[in-house]
Amino acid sequence: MKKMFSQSVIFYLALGLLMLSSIPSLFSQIAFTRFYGKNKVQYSHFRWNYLTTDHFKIYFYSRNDDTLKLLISITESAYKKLSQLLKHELKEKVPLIFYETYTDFEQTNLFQVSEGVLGVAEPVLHRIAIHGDLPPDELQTLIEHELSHIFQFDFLWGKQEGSLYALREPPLWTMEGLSEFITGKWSSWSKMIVRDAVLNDRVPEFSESGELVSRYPLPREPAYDFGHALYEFIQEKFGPNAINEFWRALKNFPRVSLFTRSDPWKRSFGITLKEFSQAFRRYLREKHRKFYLRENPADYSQPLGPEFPSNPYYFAFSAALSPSGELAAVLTYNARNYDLNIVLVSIKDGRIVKNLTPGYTTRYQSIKFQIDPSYGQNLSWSKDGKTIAFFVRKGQKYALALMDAFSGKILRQIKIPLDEPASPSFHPTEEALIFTAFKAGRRDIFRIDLKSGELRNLTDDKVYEKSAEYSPDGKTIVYTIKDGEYDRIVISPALNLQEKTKLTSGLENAICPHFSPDGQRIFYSGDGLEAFNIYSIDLKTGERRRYTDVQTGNFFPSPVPGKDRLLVFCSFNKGSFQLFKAEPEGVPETPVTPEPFEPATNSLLSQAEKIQLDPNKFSSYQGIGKLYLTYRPPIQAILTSDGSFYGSSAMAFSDLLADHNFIFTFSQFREFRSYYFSYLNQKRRFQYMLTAFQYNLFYYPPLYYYDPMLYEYLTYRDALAVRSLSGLSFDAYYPFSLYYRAEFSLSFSRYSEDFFNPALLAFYGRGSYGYFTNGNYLSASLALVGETTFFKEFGPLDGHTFRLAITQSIPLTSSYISNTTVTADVRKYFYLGADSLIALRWEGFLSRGKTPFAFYWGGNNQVRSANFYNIIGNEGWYFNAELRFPLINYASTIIGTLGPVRGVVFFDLTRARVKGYPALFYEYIIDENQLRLQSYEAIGSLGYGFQVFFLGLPLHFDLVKPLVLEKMSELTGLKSKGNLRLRFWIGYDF
Amino acid sequence: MRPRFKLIFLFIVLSCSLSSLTSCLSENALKIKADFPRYTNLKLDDFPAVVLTNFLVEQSPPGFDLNQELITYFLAELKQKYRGQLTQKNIVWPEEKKWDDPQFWHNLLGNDSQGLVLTGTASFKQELRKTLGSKDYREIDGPFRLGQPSLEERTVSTLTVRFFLVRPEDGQVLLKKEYKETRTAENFREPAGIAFFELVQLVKTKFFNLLFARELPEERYLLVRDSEQ
Repeated sequence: MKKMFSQSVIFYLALGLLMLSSIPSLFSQIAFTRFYGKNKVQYSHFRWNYLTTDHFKIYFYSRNDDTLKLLISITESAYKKLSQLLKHELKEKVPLIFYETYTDFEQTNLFQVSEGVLGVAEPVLHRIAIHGDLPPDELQTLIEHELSHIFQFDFLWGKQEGSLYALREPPLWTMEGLSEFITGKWSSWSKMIVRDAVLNDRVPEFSESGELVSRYPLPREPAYDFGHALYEFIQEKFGPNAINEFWRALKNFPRVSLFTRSDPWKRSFGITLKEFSQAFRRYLREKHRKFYLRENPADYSQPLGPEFPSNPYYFAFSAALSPSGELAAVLTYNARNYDLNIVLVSIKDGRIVKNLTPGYTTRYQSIKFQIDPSYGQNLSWSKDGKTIAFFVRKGQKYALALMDAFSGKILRQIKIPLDEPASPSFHPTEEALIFTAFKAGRRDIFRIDLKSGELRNLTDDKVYEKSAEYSPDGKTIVYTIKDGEYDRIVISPALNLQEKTKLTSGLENAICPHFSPDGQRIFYSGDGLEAFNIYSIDLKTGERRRYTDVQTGNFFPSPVPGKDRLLVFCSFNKGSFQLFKAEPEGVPETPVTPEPFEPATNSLLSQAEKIQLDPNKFSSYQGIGKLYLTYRPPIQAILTSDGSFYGSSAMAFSDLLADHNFIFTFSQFREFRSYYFSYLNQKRRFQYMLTAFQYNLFYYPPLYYYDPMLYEYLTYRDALAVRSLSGLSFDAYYPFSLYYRAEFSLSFSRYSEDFFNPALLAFYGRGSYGYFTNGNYLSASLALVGETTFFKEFGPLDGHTFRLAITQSIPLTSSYISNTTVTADVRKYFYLGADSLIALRWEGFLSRGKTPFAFYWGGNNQVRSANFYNIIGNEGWYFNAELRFPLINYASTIIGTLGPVRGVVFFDLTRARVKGYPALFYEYIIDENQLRLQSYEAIGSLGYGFQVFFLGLPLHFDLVKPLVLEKMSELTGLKSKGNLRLRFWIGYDF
Repeated sequence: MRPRFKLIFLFIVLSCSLSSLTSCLSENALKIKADFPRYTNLKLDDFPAVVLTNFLVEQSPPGFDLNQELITYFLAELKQKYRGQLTQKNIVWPEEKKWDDPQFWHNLLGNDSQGLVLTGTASFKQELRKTLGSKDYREIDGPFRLGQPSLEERTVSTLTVRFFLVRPEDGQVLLKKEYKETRTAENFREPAGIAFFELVQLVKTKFFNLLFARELPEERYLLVRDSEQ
């Protein structure tokens, strides 16, 4: 296949990444089928400024003095705290890049950010990037956590860029655990995860390398919560200075200790790792002793599921009851499809009635969910029973999706121009819905009119509202407010949310409020007993009852309509949330006395108000600024079986915000060198790249172009053909959405192709091979690219991918290569379920003009009956149809883990035409003892095979029956030719 | 290599291999690796009680309470290692000190001290040292590596601690040891506490080796008794 110069930015980046990932290209055949990638859309153009403080450079794009003062206050006090605790000072100011919202943070070029990430600290330039969709105390915790990482990086590897040369890293828990420990706070969520693991004897263990490994699934990486517990244990057991001594011992760990003889545990703590692990478990058990006698959800309730692995659904993130009380819509994770689904579960017996969101969709990017229960339910079921509402990620922001409760059809999507929407709640009678969301740094309750789409902020205050719900009559709203350190439950008249009445108080977090069907009681989850239990408050009498005394946590209590005492709730048990139902009696607790809500004084905000901003410390961040090496230059060195040597390396530089990137790569195979240099600007939505390159490549032209007389005299070396390509290119790309984009390219190349030893072949008489391209080539190209394809570990699963491109040469003189080239690559995948799919591909190319390009294809999964790249043409196409299905997921063998093993039934067909010749394939056949030239308009293959993943590479074994077709107009004339042949190749599926 | 020398070389290699093999095959001794406690002059665990007193501070940077930092640090560290009763007490240091006179110690520490007394003197000094150095740089447009004069500044911190372990009943000094540790830091704005912490850890490691029997891995041969003997 001719290399195209209208390459997408993504492809170049993918190419760069491929080279930089140090995966050796062991085999000469294609290792990867080309996919075009989805887009990272820069919706906003950030105009950065920065503010210099004693220890930080705070980068911001939107001047909000209150926010800046808060940041200065929090960052400097965090620095002081960490410096004193860790007995360490940083040598350079820390760049802190502040994004106002998560959706802005996601657009950073510094790293790949996924949903749920609050902040990142990176070890090369000691940068911290965070977003501000948080209440002040959580922002403080986040900054302390990330700053702690910077101290760790500085401590271990010294100055900025020092980590580039580190050969090893300490175990993850040593870093994440310390960052959590430093904050001095345990979230209810983290405490629950640890408690659950201890009580169910699922505490993660240490591997030989000292990493924390859990045999059982956990809601998040054990390094955080169990790392935190480990540091508390170290401090308690080994003294207040033990943590510092441990880190000083770790300091030698990364570079020196590749072949360490001494046991670092013994050095730091005087005991072996095994003894340390046992002591840690004893410590945890002792610490949680008082919870052993508390209830397990199974003691008093009936599980409703989802029951992984009986079905593929794992984790009930949220559940909304139907108005009739017979069904629950549950947001859950489909472990087979690696996707979130909404399923209907029967309240009667927990049976999965239906998956409302099967397969994959491009109508929205993903379902928005909040794993923290204090932000309320993720789903709401309308009172008429017809509609389920939930939030989805769509484009830059979000949308409210209204789905038919039984068919799963998305009825409507209403754009929500706010951040982090959560807790949808239908009005019982009007066509309206309330929810909470962020706007301009504050979290409020919003009301949306479902008819007109009108959005109204109902609270518009400095109070942090987290979850909200309408009463059954629609006249009252109950919601959770973050008040100081605690979550409180508050009610207000629906028409006046400024009138707030507080229902809970004291040293208790009260979350997930939910009205009873008669509106007389409010059920909620409270952690007054250190674990979240279910409570209720009678709104008339103030009577409070507690229904559970659980070991871990119960959330989202929902009384079932029509059933007197039946409650459905989510319980956290054995590392996951599950739905349960119970009819608890409850015990009386201290009655509540509702009182007007007065927000607690926020000490962080009070401290921030005292700060004076110095206008001299503000600067504008313009241009490229200083450039930094972004990663350690990889070095690849490969010796092939014919004695050829391949070597390559790459260097990449970027500015502080990674908006401007420079890449230089160098490679050499035998004596053929290639260079590549590029500058990528990804500051805005319209991104462009300037490239300069020189490639020197070699290949073997098909042998039938050589005079057969030469076969006995020529060596492989003599048969080489060399292509030299040097030039410049300007590439631009504009993403329309996550899936589609336009690409433009303007490039100049100088081609030079010939046999490696033309004189030798001239001496012996050259063959009639005349498809070398020589000359200058100036071209402009335009392409439309789309990719909605979903992938699993074995390849594509559903969706489509396409690239349509046209390239027009611009011959400045008559010696310029002149042609018009059109290419099309269209693929469609039909997911059949259970990892089976039908994959279709049509790829066509056409090059016409004075010097049309030649395309090469064949072999692998293009045309299986042909040899690799043995079909040549200036015009042509090939079509593939494959049925792919799983055979074995994984097999443990003596030579390693094999798998997955997948089967395939395939069919392909191709046609080709060389300029000046008819579009035919020829072969000599013996017909009635006479040699005759037979022609076919198309050739193809039919057959079956299987694919095995081994050592990370996909190996294919195909049994191929060649097909021939004499006339395209007579497709029924397709006939097989010859016997089944076994073909082996290595590569990913298209 | 010439064939004759090749043969000799091969013979030597084989002989060495065979003899070491023979020694491995010997049934008289077995080589093991195990943890063995180090010998200490004085085992603190043999004494039921230790009293840690305030240190006599000879020099300390302004704003840095050296005595308090030493007490806090050694109290915490001794609690981890020492199994007996550990207490802290303040004493008033006289003008005249006679470090080798038992009467001096007896008078100073008195009869009411329960157990051994750990005390001493301490000095913590920080100096900013400057020197004219040379920074190498390479011209962008030339091949030469040039040196540019530059002023280099370092903070040198020195911690000196002299420990006395005294039996107050008779004023006998059971152990007297002085440690001096130095640290150089490029960041001259670094607070005193950070340098102190790094230095006191070194002092502690060395001092505690004298007081507590530390186990270290060592190789030993176990002699195997012949069954016929």
